Amino acid sequence: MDQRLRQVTREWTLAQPAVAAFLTSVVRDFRERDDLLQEVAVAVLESYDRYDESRPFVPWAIGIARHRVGTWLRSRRRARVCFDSAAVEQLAAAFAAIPAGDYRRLDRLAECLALLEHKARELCELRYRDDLKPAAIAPLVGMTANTVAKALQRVRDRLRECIEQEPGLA
Amino acid sequence: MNAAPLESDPELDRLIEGHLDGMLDEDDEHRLGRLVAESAGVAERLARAILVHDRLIDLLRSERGNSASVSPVVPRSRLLRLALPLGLAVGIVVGGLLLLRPAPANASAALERLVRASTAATDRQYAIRVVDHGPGGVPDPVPSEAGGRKPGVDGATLFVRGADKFVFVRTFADGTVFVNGCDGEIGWSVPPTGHVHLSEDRRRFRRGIPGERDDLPFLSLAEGLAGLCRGYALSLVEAPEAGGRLRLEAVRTDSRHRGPARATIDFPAGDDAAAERIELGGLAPDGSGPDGVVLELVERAPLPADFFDHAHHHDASRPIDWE
Repeated sequence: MDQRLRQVTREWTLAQPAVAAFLTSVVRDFRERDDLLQEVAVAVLESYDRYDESRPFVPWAIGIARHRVGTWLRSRRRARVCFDSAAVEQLAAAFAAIPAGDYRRLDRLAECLALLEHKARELCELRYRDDLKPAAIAPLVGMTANTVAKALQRVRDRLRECIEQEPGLA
Repeated sequence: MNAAPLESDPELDRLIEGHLDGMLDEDDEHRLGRLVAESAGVAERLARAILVHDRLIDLLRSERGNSASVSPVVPRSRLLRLALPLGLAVGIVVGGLLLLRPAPANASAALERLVRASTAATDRQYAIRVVDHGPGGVPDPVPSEAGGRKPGVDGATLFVRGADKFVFVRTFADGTVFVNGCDGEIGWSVPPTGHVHLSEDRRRFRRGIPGERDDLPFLSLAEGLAGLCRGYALSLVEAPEAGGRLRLEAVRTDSRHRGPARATIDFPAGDDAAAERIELGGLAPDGSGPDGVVLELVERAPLPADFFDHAHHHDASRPIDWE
């Protein structure tokens, strides 16, 4: 297999979590985010011959994602969009500046998720596996939407604390 | 909410967490957007909150994906959408080594033909070679069954019939063989001695085989090929070194699919699109097994009718365990 093809797939594999997170910050719908991620992957492959290997790959890939998001935002001009281009620029810079080690730390998340008690795990599944908002989750678990939202916030706080711990301490 | 929240302000927490769950009204959303635009610190806080949120999406949705059955149906529209740009992209990347054929219909039609050919009843035999042992290096040969380990896949043979029948033969250093397979309904495993294991779960005895933990199992070629339509960018190229055969290149673009990072499939240009060579790369970059494997078609000849039944591969006196 061609060395350059190996290289771009390796680089993309490492950059993908950052690019995906950046897209998630701007695109609320999970499926739309998936489609945009796919388009960015294609654009990265198409543009790889213009990539300057002396520079870090992740900011370059996020730059491509930022352009795609710009196009997406323009196409959604009349829809309810949270962030304008200045906020998107700022977020792109923030994701690009996060050290690689912080992304790697996220690999502990599965382990941390396994430590959640049943109720917290159920909320996570309803929110993330089934893509339900708190208002839709509420009647399923006998809580109000606000209580669900607060509970999800607490769960995410715990998960963030958990992945910050040394491996084995989670 | 007149005062701009500080970066550690609970009000900012409310805005960020509300954003993650789609709980903000329009005013609050714009307020958060403005704060992000004005402050790199706020942007970083939101970015870090989203890291966990985003990984949760991937983790929990992949659980849902893994529990779904794998369908051999190829969603044509997806392939059509991806084939052209990725054909171009791969052409650029490989720098002229391959002659690009950027017709989207070609790539999708080729994959459909490959899947169809792999589901045909013709018996095929593939030789398996490990071309990249990965970070763990070349493993020591497994001398015999005695240690409880199974032989590696390097040098193994895969026999396939149709979409769901296979026999996979691996050899210990002492020459005895470990055979597992599926007759289309029952998964089975036949070690050199002792109990024969059967299960109605056809995937049960595939564990430990490269690609099997992924979405692109190579023991079921039809399943594996159909799996290329999910999370892979495809392009069809003509490869001079492949003797005039066509080549389908697949590059994984979505890390939620745990299959190989790359797949290359060579097949004849005519109507008979049976895969003649399949190379899978980036199977186990964590060193848990071989990282690169090649399957080469070595024989297309009818095998005995009962070849895919477990009974063909062991003495009738062997005890049977249902699992």
